[in-house]
Amino acid sequence: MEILRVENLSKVYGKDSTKVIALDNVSFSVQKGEFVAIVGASGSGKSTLLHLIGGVDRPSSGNVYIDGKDIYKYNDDELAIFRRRKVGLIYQFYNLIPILNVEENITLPLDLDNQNVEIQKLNELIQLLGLETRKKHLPNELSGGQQQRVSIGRAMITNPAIILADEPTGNLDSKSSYEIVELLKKSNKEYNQTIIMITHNMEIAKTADRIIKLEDGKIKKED
Amino acid sequence: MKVLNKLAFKNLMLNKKRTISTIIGIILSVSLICAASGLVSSFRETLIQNTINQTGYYHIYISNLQEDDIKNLQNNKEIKDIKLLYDNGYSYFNQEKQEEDNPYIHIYSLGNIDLEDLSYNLLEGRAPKNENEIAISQSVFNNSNYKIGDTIELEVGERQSIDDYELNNMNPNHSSMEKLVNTTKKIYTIVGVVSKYNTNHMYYGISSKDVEGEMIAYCSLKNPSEYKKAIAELLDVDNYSQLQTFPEPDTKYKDYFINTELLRWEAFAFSDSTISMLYAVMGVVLFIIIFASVFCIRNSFSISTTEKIKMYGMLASIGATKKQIKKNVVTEALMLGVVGIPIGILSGILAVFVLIKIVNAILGDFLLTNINGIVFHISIWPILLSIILGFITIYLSAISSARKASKVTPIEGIRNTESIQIKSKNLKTPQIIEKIFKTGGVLAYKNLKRSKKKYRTTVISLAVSIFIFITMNAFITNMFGFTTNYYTDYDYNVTIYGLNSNNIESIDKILSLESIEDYFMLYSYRDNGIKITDKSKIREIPYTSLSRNNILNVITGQLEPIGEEFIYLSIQALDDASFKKYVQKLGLDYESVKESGILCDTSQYYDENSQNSKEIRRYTYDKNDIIYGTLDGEEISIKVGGITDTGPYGLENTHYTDGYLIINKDLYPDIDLELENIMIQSSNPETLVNEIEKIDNSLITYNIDEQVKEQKAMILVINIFLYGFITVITLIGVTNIFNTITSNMELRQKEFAMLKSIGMTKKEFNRMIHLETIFYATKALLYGIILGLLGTFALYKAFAIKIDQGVYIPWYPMLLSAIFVFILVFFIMKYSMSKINKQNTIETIRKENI
Repeated sequence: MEILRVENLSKVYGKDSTKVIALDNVSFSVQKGEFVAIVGASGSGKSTLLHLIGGVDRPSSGNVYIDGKDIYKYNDDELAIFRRRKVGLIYQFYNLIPILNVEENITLPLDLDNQNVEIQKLNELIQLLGLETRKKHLPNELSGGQQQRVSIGRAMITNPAIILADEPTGNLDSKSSYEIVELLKKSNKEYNQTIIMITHNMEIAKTADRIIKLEDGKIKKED
Repeated sequence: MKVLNKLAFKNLMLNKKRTISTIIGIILSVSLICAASGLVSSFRETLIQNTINQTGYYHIYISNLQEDDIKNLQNNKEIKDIKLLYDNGYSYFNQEKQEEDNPYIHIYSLGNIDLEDLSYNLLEGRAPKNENEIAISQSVFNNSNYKIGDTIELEVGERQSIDDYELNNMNPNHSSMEKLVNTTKKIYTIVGVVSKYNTNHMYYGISSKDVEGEMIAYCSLKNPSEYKKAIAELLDVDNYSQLQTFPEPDTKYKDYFINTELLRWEAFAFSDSTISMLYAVMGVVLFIIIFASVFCIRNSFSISTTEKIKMYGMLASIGATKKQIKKNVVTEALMLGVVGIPIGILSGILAVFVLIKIVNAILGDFLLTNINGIVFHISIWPILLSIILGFITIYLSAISSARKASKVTPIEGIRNTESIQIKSKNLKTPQIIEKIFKTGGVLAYKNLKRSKKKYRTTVISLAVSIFIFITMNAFITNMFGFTTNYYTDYDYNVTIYGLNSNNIESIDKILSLESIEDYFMLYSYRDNGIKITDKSKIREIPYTSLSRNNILNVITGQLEPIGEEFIYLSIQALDDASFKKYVQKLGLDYESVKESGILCDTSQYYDENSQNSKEIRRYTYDKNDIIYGTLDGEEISIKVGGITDTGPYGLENTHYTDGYLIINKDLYPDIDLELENIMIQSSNPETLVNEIEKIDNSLITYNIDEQVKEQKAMILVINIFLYGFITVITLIGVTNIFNTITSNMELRQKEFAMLKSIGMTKKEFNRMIHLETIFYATKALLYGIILGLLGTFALYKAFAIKIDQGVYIPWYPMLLSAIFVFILVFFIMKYSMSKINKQNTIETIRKENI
């Protein structure tokens, strides 16, 4: 089942002499349960593409359909609600709230949505993340790898349609990187979670089902 | 939702310094509102108590009442309680001198009340308990041989006029034109001596329980603020204002007196223009408090929001709606309010309490004649007002930050860079800055241009503080001017009026009394004055006209004007010594003006257009002009030695419509001058007044010492409060400026570290900072001063509703604020810079969470 379709997506910054075409008419689609890696050099438009899929930025032209819905028809509020329910975002720099502990950071999207937290599910997830002993700790008491795992937990707690990960291992050492990737793969296999991951590391990219290569804002080739 | 609230709370806990300084801002502002309103409440209560101590607690008294009238009054729903005094009648009383014009003693009896209920003060002895005891007034005591313990016999009866003589009950003296009828012999034992505020020269005795005679009912109203309706109903007129017209309307009771003094304070019974002025002034003051507070607290929130942009962006990226984020910011604000407002109210109340204690300790006795210092009184209103205004202030402060936070896009939260939202052409630096200030200057200039918003907040913070300082100074000056118009500096404390050919011999005796330190004699030309016909010297004033002689036209039988129009310039004179003192006080040289006259011709008239009283000079004479005219038919010319609106001793606040001229009596022996008043500076004014009364009781003496002390103390107290107010507001401003500047510095730590790492020397770095300081301090001063001038003008307009004193330009405060601003900003920058300089450059650059 097609969970994501990108049609003629473009993003342009600036005007005239300062014009930068970050994305140039990109189109592709992703099936539910796929693990896709997006690779490309710096400035090739990877992050821009991810942000547009996540509804975090607005395109200059084109459409993004998630679960059949054209997300850019939503207004700001609807887009926000869409984000908290349908999309999970993971960033290179964790972006956790420093004054909330592990549990609170993970359940944040549910709280924003006024949903009750199923304690059972939460504990399962925390176990999956390997963070049982760190449940009540603050981010600054965790290692880089542990912080990233919290981010993943936050991305997963709402069972989103897609998880978007922007260089999730960029800030980690090789051991932690490996663990993170394993975790993502596990959630992909066991929960049929669709994952789109940006990475500049070809080794990591090869663990995905499919690789999309971006160059100068255009898709170079697909594997 | 719970987590967002938890987040709000935790954020506050995280940045404790910022949280505490914001709470301090809230506390300062709420306590200011609470203290200001608490002081007003206390002052009002004090004035009410003071009046009650003077007059007793009643709003209207009605005389000549019978039993039925009293019953009617008792049934009147608007009347709270009635104090009864019985009017037993008049009697002659024992005096040393048995002369024609002597006062009666008016006998009263206490009904259901004690002496204190009507504010009679027991000077000696005790209160009368029954109809055989009497307490006599101080004047009776002074003018008789009576002592406490004496038993006296009085024939008490009614006064009746002989033939057509009009009986005037206000005249305490008996004459051959009236007699005493229906007298009853009464025997009294004198048990005490009493007095009451403002009852010098009243001869009365107070007994008890003698229920004969008509009654005087002192009534107090249930609802003093509804006094107009209640009194109009009571007196059976259509409305209250009819009572103030002339001729007086028909009222149900003929002899009544309304205690306007008490109503003034209890029911705010001021004239409409005074009320407008009070509201306008109060409005401006409250506006200033709220404006300053909102501004400073808002700035705190703005800073804390800016620090959390990443967090807001992140929340937006995981799906928080704009409303949720706004709510988060407002929740933070309300949490601060819940802590700050109660503390603010408590400190406000405490401040009022302490201030009053201090003022009473220093000035208690002088403050008001009938009360020992200011009463501490906080009603529910100051508290309610503080809570409401406090929350409004906080909400207004938070709302713009809330909006700003909700607008943060997820991208801003994700990316680590701060977008520079300015075009490169706007960052171009004029050549001149580079030439004079070099690199440091260029960077400083670009800095200011790029972070316009941040720098704008600092500038506005400073400008607001300056504005407040200048406007408050204007407020004080207006208040001062207002009060000095009424309460001038006098060189004497006792005045004697009512001098005539009969009592003039007593003067020598009086002037040799011990407690007299200095005196001034004011003479007056008893006839009309200098007749001036030169119309070019006379100004036209609305509602006045010049005089003209009339002659009867035998043919038409009408009076017709004849001859030229003329005006009389009245003549007043001082003895040589007093004249010298007077002209020196005016700054004139005695020798050159001793033969000239001093012209006091400031006239006040009511201008219908502006509904205001205006001042204008009656004549167009300038200094050194010669006044030509005739005095009693003979030509006279006097040089004008000086022109002033300050009259001499005894005439300080007196303005004759046609003005008066003051001359040196000793140099004009030919002019027929008569002694009118004597002004005395005494070391013991109270005793002096009594002694004078003993020597000659036809003289009217006033002890103005009390009044003057009272008024001077009042001014001092007002000064204390107003300067206290300015200090607190300035403190709010200073906290705010401190916040802004330090946070500005903190946010740019990375930049500074980077500059240093590429080799900017300490000297150049310092210069860059200094230049920034000068640039925005100057801009702040400009805005602040312009706003301050506007505020001054607004206050002038508010005060001018009642009394027009002319605008004044606040040079001194402007200069002071300039100095203050530069010093303050300089020190704060130095402080932040020293903190930054201590940091390790590399670590700062690598730190992420900035």
